[in-house]
Amino acid sequence: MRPMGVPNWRAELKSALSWRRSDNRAGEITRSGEAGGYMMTCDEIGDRRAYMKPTKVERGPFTARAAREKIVADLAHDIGANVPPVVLWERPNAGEEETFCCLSMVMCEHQRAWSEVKTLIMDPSCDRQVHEAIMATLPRDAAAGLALDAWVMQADHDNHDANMFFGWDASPSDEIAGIRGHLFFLDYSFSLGHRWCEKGHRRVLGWKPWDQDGWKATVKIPFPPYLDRYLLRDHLESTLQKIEAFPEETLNEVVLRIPDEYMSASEKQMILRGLVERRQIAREGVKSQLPQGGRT
Amino acid sequence: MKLRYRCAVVSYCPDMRSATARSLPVAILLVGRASGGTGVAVAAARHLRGLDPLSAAFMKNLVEMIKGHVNDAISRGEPGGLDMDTVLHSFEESLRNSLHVSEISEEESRTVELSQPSSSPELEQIVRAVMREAVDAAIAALMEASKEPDRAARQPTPNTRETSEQAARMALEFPDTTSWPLPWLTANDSQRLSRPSAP
Repeated sequence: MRPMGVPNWRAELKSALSWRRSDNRAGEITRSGEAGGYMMTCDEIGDRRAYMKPTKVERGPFTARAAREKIVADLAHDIGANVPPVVLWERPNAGEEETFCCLSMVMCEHQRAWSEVKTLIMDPSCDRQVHEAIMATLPRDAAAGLALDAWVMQADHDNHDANMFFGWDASPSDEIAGIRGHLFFLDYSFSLGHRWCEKGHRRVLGWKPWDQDGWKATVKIPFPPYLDRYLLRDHLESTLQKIEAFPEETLNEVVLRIPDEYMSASEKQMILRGLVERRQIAREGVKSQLPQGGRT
Repeated sequence: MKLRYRCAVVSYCPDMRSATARSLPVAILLVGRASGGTGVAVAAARHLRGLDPLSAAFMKNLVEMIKGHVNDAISRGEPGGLDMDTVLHSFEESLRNSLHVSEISEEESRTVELSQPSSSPELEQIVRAVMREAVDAAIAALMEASKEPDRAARQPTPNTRETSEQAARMALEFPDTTSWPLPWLTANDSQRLSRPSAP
């Protein structure tokens, strides 16, 4: 079920609303990051924000960021993984910046980077109630996130603590026990065979490009340090089963509806093939990186 | 000796979903560089009111948390390359949620006379003084912003978020906050810093 005020962007492809910069810019960075982005809002969604990206113009084939964000957010929705909903947006008057962007909904009143969360749950002096509040959902959310990452070959969830956050809305009771938060996964630009040539990320990982059958790999998926030990194995298994049984018709619908301005027809075909085939490969990728034991 | 420094203002956003929520400065990070190396100092608000209990738990060890982020940022830097820009922007990129960097100042500098080259106690005193100035400037900016009627009118109810007046009071507690420099670092020292190890 969607939280109140969150639009159904799984059903929507492109936003036709008039978005503008948000007054509240918490979460932006002062100088343009790797992709660049702004916090946006519009009258129709009330006092809410979404993060728009990229501002930097795409650099050639197999680098369509906005389309990748949209595809993965739709898949995450369908398998029950926590990725904020995404919608495409054609940015008017973009000038020198990218026109074909996407918007990712800001989900929670309070959001804490994984780097902050891991410190708290690993600290032996951590308040028991705090630990329980976080761990009530984290193992389940992390399991679904790993399965998704293995399916889409996400390359950017390793040493990047800002690409995951634990979020919650304030409890009316003002007691920790009443708080129910969730771990969310962000930034799927470098998934689905994206060629991150600038920093040679693909070379570091040793992954072949998807247009050279790189999707066949059963590689270890970069995942946040320490998080894999908290996975709820039963939920990992059920999410992998959902991926294995994911209807090909739905994959067609999710990938092929992306407009050509956002992703070329050949790139869509490449991604579609990879996603179809990786339904049966994701499990092997997950298996190769699971620590012995783990919470079940 | 010339001390060059830049500051990052760490702020807390009371509602990340809201397009009109207003962040409150809760800590100041200063990164300074002199001939002896690079130094880091942190000052954080001692009392933060109006937080939900889980947020309060996260903010409990704010200074330690910021130190951890800075150490991470330094350890990710190029070997021997402890430039202020790298440290500050790496720090900024690691904090992009409720706790975030709202401002990074331009570089400033001052010339100081030291009785001994790289005298650590003297440098600490200077850093403390610079920290206090940076904090005062942040408070002044906050007070000025709170006078803007259109922004103040958009503030939500006091029960869920801080009003501008409360924000100002919160920030005014800064001058009581203890600040201190981390050990004055040389480029080689950065290699000793590493990510927290797993238990």
